[in-house]
Amino acid sequence: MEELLSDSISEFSTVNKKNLDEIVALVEELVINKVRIEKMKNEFYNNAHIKILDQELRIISEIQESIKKVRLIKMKTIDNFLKDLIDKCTKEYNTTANFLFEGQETEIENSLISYIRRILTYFIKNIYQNEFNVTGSHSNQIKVSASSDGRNLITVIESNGTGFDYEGTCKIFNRENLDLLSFNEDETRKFFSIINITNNIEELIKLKSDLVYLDGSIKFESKLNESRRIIISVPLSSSIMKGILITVGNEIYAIPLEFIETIINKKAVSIKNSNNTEMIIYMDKVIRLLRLSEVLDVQTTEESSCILIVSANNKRVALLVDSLMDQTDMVIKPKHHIIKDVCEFKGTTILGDGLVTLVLDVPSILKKI
Amino acid sequence: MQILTFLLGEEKFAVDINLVDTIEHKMPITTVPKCKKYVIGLISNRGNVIPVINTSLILNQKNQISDFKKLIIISLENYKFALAVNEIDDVVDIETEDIKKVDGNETLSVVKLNSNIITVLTYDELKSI
Repeated sequence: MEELLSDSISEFSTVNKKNLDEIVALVEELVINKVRIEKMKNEFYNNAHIKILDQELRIISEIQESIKKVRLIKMKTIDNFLKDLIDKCTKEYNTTANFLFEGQETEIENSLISYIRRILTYFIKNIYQNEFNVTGSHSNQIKVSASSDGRNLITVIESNGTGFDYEGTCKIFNRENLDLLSFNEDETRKFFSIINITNNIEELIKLKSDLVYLDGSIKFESKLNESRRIIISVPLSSSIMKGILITVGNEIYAIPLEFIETIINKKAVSIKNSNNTEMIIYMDKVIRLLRLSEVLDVQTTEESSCILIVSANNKRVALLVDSLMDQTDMVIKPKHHIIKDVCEFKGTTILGDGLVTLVLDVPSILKKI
Repeated sequence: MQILTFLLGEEKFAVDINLVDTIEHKMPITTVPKCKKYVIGLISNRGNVIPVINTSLILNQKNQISDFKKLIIISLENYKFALAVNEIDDVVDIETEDIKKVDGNETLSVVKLNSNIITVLTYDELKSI
């Protein structure tokens, strides 16, 4: 298996992964400094100084762009690995199966491919152990499909076989869906025993905790005696992204640029009120208005002057904030576990002044309304 | 073993020095809306973002202190946090056996120091934060 792994990667790069990670960490530091340099630049009056700083900034931006691309690899790098795994399982469990691998062109960050590969290995083995054997069906099928929605890499493993009682299991755990990452350790063990996953439990639990950190999800769906789907979602985005800094009261927050559709002056639209809901009409659309100060429970004294129209997962909302500050590059660090339960924030970033700034989790805010 | 003693208001407390990473002066803190009450906010320390804990609150002090001057950065296995305190006092040598659990309150560890009894924050107490 190890042999196969090295073969499949060599086509794309011969860089030692550890070295690459070190470079990426250094670039992240550069980006933090870039923001500081941008601030400092405004204090210089000497043209020569400004010129050289501008050049430095441009170079940092370019390094940042290329490092993003270097880290991406295509899903087809694990094609051979999967085929080999299927062959092995076919022999071991003495059964045949049609194997399909779709979406091989989908790109994913290098550091995540090993997670995906390990998860696929455990689940595919499990399919052979528990799904196929029981039915004895001759048209066993496994389909792995990878796709991306711009923000997440979604890998789906579909198989026919025994499956499990989806609604019943949801009821047992009192959940709307079966996302492995929303379970604690005991629930995970119980869930695995219900759906007949008996091997590699410890490894799966370890993988699960890593995915929580990455903010991914593993959802299970099934039709009893028909099929089972495992949907693994891992964020694609690199930790370095662009964001807009806004103020609410005395606080500064960052909003990732990818969620922002437009920014409009509050004076340009009128805020209407109906049924205790505030809304604005913009480009012939009626959009609900949320005051960020109320969403976050923050005191605001200033007159709010700015509206950001944000969208995620086909939902759109207008966010009223006090003012806009700047656009900036940011390195998003995951939330410390002590503030993990504050769902309004995606993570934190350190800005040029050395202060910690919270990054808003737009999808999560939209989900709550 | 050694313990680091610190002041919260008039009262003295201690923490196992093996858990202390560094001691920092008070610095600008970013508050986090909607988080647990005992979290004052976040600071950046050597490239890490770490939460600052209201030590007075987790120790259930009757008179809540807010005028913190020093931050004791605590490092547990794979994460860090800062304990906000009024003042650092001293480093004291004690015997590990001197740390006793209190009958009737098993979650509390204390040590007898110069005829005073002070509460010691050990790994067990800190890991539950």
